[in-house]
Amino acid sequence: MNIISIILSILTYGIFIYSVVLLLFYVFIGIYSIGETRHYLHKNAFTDYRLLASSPHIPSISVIAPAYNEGATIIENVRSLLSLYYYNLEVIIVNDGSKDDSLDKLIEAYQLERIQRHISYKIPTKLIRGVYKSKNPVYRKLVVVDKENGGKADALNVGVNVSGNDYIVCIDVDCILEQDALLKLIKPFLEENQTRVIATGGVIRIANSCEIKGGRLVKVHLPKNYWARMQSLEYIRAFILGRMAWARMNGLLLISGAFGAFDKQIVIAAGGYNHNTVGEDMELVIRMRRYMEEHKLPYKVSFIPDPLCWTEAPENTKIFGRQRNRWARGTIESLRMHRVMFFNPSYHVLGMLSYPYWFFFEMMAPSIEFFGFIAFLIMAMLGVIAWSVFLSLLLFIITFGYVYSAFAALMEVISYNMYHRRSDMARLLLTALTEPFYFHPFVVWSSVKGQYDLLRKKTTWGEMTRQGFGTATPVAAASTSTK
Amino acid sequence: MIQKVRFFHLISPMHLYNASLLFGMVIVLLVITIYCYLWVKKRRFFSKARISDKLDDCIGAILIEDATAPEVELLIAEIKALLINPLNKQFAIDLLINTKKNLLGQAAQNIVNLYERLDLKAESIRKFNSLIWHQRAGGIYELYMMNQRDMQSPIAQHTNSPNETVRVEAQVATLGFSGFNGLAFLNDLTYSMTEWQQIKLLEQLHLTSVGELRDLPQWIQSSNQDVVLFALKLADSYQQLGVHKEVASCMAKESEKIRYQAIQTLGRIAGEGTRELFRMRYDAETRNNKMAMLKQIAVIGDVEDLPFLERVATQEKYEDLKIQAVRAIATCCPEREEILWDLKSSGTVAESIVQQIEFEFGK
Amino acid sequence: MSKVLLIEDDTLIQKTVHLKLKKEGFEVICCPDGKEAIEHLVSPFPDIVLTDLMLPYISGLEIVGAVKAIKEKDIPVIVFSSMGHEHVVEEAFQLGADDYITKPFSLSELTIRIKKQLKSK
Repeated sequence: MNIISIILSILTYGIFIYSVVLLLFYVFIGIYSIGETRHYLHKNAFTDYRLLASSPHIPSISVIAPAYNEGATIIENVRSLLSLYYYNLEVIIVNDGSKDDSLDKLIEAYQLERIQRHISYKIPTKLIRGVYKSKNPVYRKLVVVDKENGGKADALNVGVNVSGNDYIVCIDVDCILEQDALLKLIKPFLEENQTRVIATGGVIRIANSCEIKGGRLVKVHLPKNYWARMQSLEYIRAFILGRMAWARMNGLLLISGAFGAFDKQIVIAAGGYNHNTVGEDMELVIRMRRYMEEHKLPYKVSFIPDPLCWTEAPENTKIFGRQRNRWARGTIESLRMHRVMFFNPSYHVLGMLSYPYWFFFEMMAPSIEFFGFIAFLIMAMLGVIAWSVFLSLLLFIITFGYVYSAFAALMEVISYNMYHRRSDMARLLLTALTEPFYFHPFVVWSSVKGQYDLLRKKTTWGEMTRQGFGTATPVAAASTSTK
Repeated sequence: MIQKVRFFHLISPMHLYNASLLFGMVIVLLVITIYCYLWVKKRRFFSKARISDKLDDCIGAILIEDATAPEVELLIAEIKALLINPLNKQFAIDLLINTKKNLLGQAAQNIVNLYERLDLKAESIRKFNSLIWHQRAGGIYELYMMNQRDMQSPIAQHTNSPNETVRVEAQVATLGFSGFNGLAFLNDLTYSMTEWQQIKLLEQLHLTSVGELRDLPQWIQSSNQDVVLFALKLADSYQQLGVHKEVASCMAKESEKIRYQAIQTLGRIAGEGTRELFRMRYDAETRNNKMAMLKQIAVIGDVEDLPFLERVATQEKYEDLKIQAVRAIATCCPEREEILWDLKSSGTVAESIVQQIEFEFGK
Repeated sequence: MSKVLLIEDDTLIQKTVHLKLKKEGFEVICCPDGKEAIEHLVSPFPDIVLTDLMLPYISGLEIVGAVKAIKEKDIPVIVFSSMGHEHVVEEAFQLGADDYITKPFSLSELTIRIKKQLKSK
């Protein structure tokens, strides 16, 4: 009885401290992000990006877009990539062994011909079958690479190998970019003198229910689908609050695979994308940071809050669940590969803050919540729950979660105000009310399943679920508060 | 059960309920704020639409017709009545700036006149005199975009301001007002210039007619490393053949970035000894800079560089450098086909590399 | 009356140029993006095309290419863009542009150049 009581009290205090620290982190992130966003908006209020679009002094960029069985939309997507404002640009489409007619379609639409190109496999990849360029000088920016199928990470590495430019911008071929996205994304690289900016991330927004014409966003609407709408809120929280705050601390650990820019030299030096993980976007940032830390080079990972990239979010539980399953696995894999940094002072903020935060509050949170819930069920059956305490804790946590969501919504309204209809905002806020009872448990469940799958060594990608961002910030551990 | 009691010495349900209540109130407050903001933003949107309607008409009339026509007078009076708060004024200023940005000659002058007639200059000056950095920077931007020359010297005083945004706006403004002569601020610049600022300044200069760069040698030897870098870019953009010696001396600098820019600039202003300098320095350089040198040699080189290029093509360990060396060989040598064939058959350079270069030149 | 196809996404410039050209007696068709512009490149063809380079959907350079690919009629293309650097201008000419005007530009100069192009054809 005594031992059980000690274990129980350790558990209780442990979970209590865990929750308190987590809540404090949220409060801190919320407040800390304000200054960063404000500063960014003030500084760039009268920046004329277009003036710089043709400057010969602006660095060269390669946009790398892996494509797998995208035949239906590839022509249009490529065209909109080619119309991005940036002179010194190369658009590399990597056909990752598509089984459909993507390549033939591209060859025909853009008058491509196979060119002789020596490929140096600076990062080892699957075999490249051919490199194509257009005979028509109008499409001089386009490079199409045909390769054997090897997954997203491998396709991106091929893009890096083929790229002849200073910076690479990795995107999902089906996402919708604003025309000046590249100009805005490249700016942070040019703004530091003493430290080297090795990567810049951008905000991802949800495109479901938005009006889209010819690969361009015409009008923004809040998604009609519940799951997509909930993700809109989740993304606002994660990007406007979370990433901005972490960027300000220079502790950013993840840049979404759907939209981010990287210093190519460092990408190659760090070894490129790792194809042994499903979280290759997160893993790359960690490895690049680790490379800089270990070589004692001053560096920064930057982030910009402009809504520049819009993507389709999964609308049904099957695909959405698979996505979260994959993110959970990706997080564990990435963190496991770099466990040497855990509370390791020689990695500074990265080792002492970012890594532990991710370890405890992104990676562990789903399991802790899950087991908390199981424990709650058992105790409820045994009748040992003090309901008044339990309910008060539950209420506390849930209302806290609402505060955080409402705060994020407010920040969004103040800064970019993409959902300016009153009804949209009302729907967003009302949807938020359901989060702790429906959306969040589902996310936790999917993540726990992902972690379980990982234990059973299941590392395949789900069919059709090729988007890969990282884990967005979940709401505070709702049901950890048993007793 | 026992530890539960112990634990909740610290925290009782009552506390939590109270906290939840507090959170609840915060939520209500946040939601109210959200809706207030939405309401304010909507109102702003409509007042902007009103201003932009009238201003568009006014601009149209001014650009096409006589600026003193009675209907223009009437429109100006109407717009003035709308410009009741700083936000509306700001919106009008932005609109005028965006129009003027694309125009030259009389049309541009007409926009400036409109800006003055709407009393918007006072608003820009108010911002310029503000102590808040972004207000001040914005004021400077507006004043030089609207070509308010009387503000030139007060603005010029901020070219060495400790605030980065104010500083760069003041520098750009100075170049906007006095063209190349405005570059004099480089003489006593103590703060840094980021790449972005340098690009901004170069773009601003690009808009003005080319002038003299008398102090260029001095800037290249400045103690401010960013000034050196910027001066090298100036020498590059405006092909300043006279500073070859000073630029060449930058090849001994510690900063890789400066050496890189020096290589670029030397390529543009190449003269006697440039290629020899490259060949001499090549082995000691970083990979990036080696690449830059090879690219420049491909432009300025001739047969004299062949032994060096062949050595790089065969012995360099990085493939991208090898490819560039072969490319340079192909441009420097008049008997391109033969020399490429020789390289291929000797087996010292990978066949696919030579094939790539052959393909590039075959077109 | 000559028909001008004006392709410009900035509504302010579009309106300004439109007004000026109308006053000079041209018939003007305005397009805010490259996609719509392509739809106008059918018979009856415009007499001259005036295009920006940075456009949504389809870049101005592609428009230049598309106009020059029309076999039925030789339509002059004037590019007007804020991208004033040599390399961009050269590229536009290589693709077949007949004239290049850098922003900021003067409205009267623009009209003169349009008239000159129309006369030489």
